[in-house]
Parts: sequence; C-alpha cells; structure tokens
Amino acid sequence: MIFVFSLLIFLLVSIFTISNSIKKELEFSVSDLPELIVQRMSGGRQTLIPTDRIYKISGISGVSNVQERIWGYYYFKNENVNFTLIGIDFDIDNYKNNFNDVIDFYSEKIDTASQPFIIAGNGVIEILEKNFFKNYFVFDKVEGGKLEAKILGTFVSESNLETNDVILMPQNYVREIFGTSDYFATDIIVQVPNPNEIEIVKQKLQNMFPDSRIVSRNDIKSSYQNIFDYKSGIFLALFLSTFVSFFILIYDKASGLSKEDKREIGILKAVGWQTENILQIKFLEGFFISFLSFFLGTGLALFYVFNLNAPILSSIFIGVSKLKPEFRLLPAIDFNSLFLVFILTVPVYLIATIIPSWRASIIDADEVMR
Amino acid sequence: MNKSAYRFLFIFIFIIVLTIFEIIYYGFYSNRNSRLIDTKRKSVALTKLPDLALCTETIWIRHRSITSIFSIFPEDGTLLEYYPSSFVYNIHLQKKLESKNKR
Repeated sequence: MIFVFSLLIFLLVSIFTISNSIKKELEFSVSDLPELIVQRMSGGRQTLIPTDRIYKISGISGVSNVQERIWGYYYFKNENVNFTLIGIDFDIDNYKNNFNDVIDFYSEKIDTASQPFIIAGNGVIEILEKNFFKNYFVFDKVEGGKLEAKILGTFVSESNLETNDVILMPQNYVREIFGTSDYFATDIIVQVPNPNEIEIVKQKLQNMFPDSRIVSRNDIKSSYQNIFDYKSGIFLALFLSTFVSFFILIYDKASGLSKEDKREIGILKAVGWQTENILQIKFLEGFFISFLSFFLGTGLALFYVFNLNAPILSSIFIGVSKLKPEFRLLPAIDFNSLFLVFILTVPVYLIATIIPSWRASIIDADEVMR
Repeated sequence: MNKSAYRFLFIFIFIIVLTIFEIIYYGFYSNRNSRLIDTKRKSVALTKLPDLALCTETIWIRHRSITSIFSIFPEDGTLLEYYPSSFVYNIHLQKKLESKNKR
C-alpha cells in the first residue's frame, strides 16, 4: 500500500514542481526583455525597418532608450541547424555590464576593432568543433563570399537554456553576412521605464508608423503563456489520470474491509477491545501509512526533479530544437500545490481507513468472525 | 514496543525529517541561489531575445514570437512554408481546374 500511495504522490508532486519551476524560469527571462519591439510589416510579413526611425522614436516622451537590432538565423548546412546570429555593439556600456558574468572569454583582451570575432553558445561550440572549426568559423555571406571569424568566448553553462544556439558578433559583420545595409535593421527595441506609459507609447508608435507591428513584453509573455498552457494540458491529463487511479484505490478500500481485516477486528473485540480502541489503532495505522507515503513520495519527487533534472517527465515541456540545450530546472517549490496534494490525499485516505473499520467494529465479534 | 516497532518509528521520523529538510532547502534555495538566476537574466538582457527553448513549437526555431506570427516554419532547416493555409497555389485544385477547362 505504501508503495502505490507513494508512487501516486511522487507523480503528482513531480508534475506540480516541474511546471512551477518552468513558470519561474519564464518569469525571470521575460522580465529582462525590452518593453517594446518595433517591427516593420509588409504584406503580412516582417521586413527590415529603416534606422532613421530611431531618432523619431527617441523624441517620444517617456522613452528612455532606443536601439536598432540586427539578428537572424544562420543556417549551417553541414548539421542542418539554425544558429541565432545576433549583432551587438560591443562598445555600449549596457552590454559591457553583462559580459563578465555571462561569457567565458578565451583571451583576456577583447580586440573589437581589428578582426571579426564571435562569442558562441555551448551548443554552437560543440557543433563547430564536430565540424573541425576549433578556434574560428567561416560564414557564407548572403551576397557571396566568406567571412572568417575568430571564436573569442563562450557563454557560461548556467545560461544554456537561453544561449545554447546563440552567436554574438559585432553588428557590422552581421550586416555583412546578412547583406543588410546600414540604413536598415531587423527591428528596433524601445525601453519605457514607467509601466503606466507603455501602452500610450505603443499607441503613439502605431500612429506614427502605420506599417509597424509593436510587440510589447506583455504580448510575448502571453504568447509564451499560451504555449505553456497548451503543454500544461498534457500535464493536466497526467494529473487527472493519477487522481482517478488514486480514488479508485480509495473507493476499493472504503467499500469494505477484506476478510483478514474483519477477522482481525473480530479477534480484537473478542479479547476485550472496545470500538474506540479499534478506531484508535486503525487511525494510527492510516496515519502512519498516509504520512509516510506522502513524505516519501514528496522527498523522492523533489530529488527526481532537482537532482536528476526530471528525466522523461520534463521532456514534455522542452522543445524539439536540434540544438536542444541541457539545463537545470530552477529550484522552486509551490507550497500551495504541495498543500493541495496533501489535502486531497492524506485526509481522504484516513477517512477511507476509519469508516469501514468503524462499520466492522460495531458488529458483534462472533458475527464478524463468522 | 518491540524492536521492529522502534525500527519502523525511526524510519518514519527519518523520512519525514529528510523530506522537510528537502522542502525547506529547495523552497528557499531559489532565493539564495541568485547566481543561476542572475546569469540567466543577464544573458537575456544581453541577447534581448525572448526565448525559452521549452516553448519551442517548431523543430528548428526558438524565437517564435519575435519573428512573425504569420510565419509557420516547416520541419526543415531552410525555413520553407508548410502550413496548408499559407499556400495560395494548390496543385490538386489546379489540376482539377485544368481538366474542367479541357472538358
């Protein structure tokens, strides 16, 4: 009984903990995104946006920072994967602050001016090394020709989930690879420090540039929430089937005692035990079984999720990207769900143990034994 | 109480204490383990791309919401359109129309 009960608790707690941990990850990563992203649409598709719009946007009151972005996917034929190539102006202070904690540089001095270089995620480095690119990589330019870039550093493994397929490169070289002129960018990011002003700025931008699509941080949040909810549905199905099996178990237990249990109660009554004594001992038995199962299941679930990284169960949530990153689930426990699992299992089991025992113990001892 | 009862009680208390310790450790660990969270936040701040590979719907692409909500990528690295509604030209329909016209 303890084994089956613990297994059910283990499944329930694992499901709740994985989904809570992933939700936390979502909150953390989305909170550091720019408030607004301005894209130019043409014929229902995103196209390059003129960079002169930056000056017009920075004139809007409430906007603190406007930046152009050059980024896109670089298709690496040998392995049939897409790298995310991001152009960065390495001299901006904002970026410099984030460098040291996120990137492991191969050399101490960064020479940003003289030659092309890249900083690549761990997944990219692995793939490049597999294809004999040890210290450099050669890009094929859109307009023909090659561009050789030195590998200058890699992202630390803690950020694998976010940076596994990312390649950072100085903006001018990314422009060269993608064949984008200096007058255009992939999109423009707008920072609005006051949350109350975001919607107003968004509206102003929309009026100013009718051909644009403004993606706010909240849009992205809800977009991810949609996919997350969709995937949570699979978890919900698992959750429901676990609960149904638990209640079948409880129903079976509550519907009547086995012959041996009845005999046991009969003997106890015959040797002089009172009904309340029998109920006490049955309560203690149920208490030990349910508490032991709950704590055993919970303990094993936490170990499985945070120490073993939830193999099998977590793959329901992870995407199917070719550069699928290995990552650590953020340690986070949702105490509400833990309490919910406790309330839905332990008291129910206790009741299911006591009621049939009470029914058996109020019958005469000889009748029970017969 | 006999020996086995003591043994059971010991295991019972041991498991409860261990689990409570685990819950406290992991429940409050997330607040203390700021390096992991800091690194993640800084890397997002650096790339400025909204991504969780967890949310990937397509096989090759990770930054879904930033590209275009109308673009549905195929299960191919070359990013060809594959969703039925994204094609205006339908080869089967075309053949039907051609045979009708011949008649």
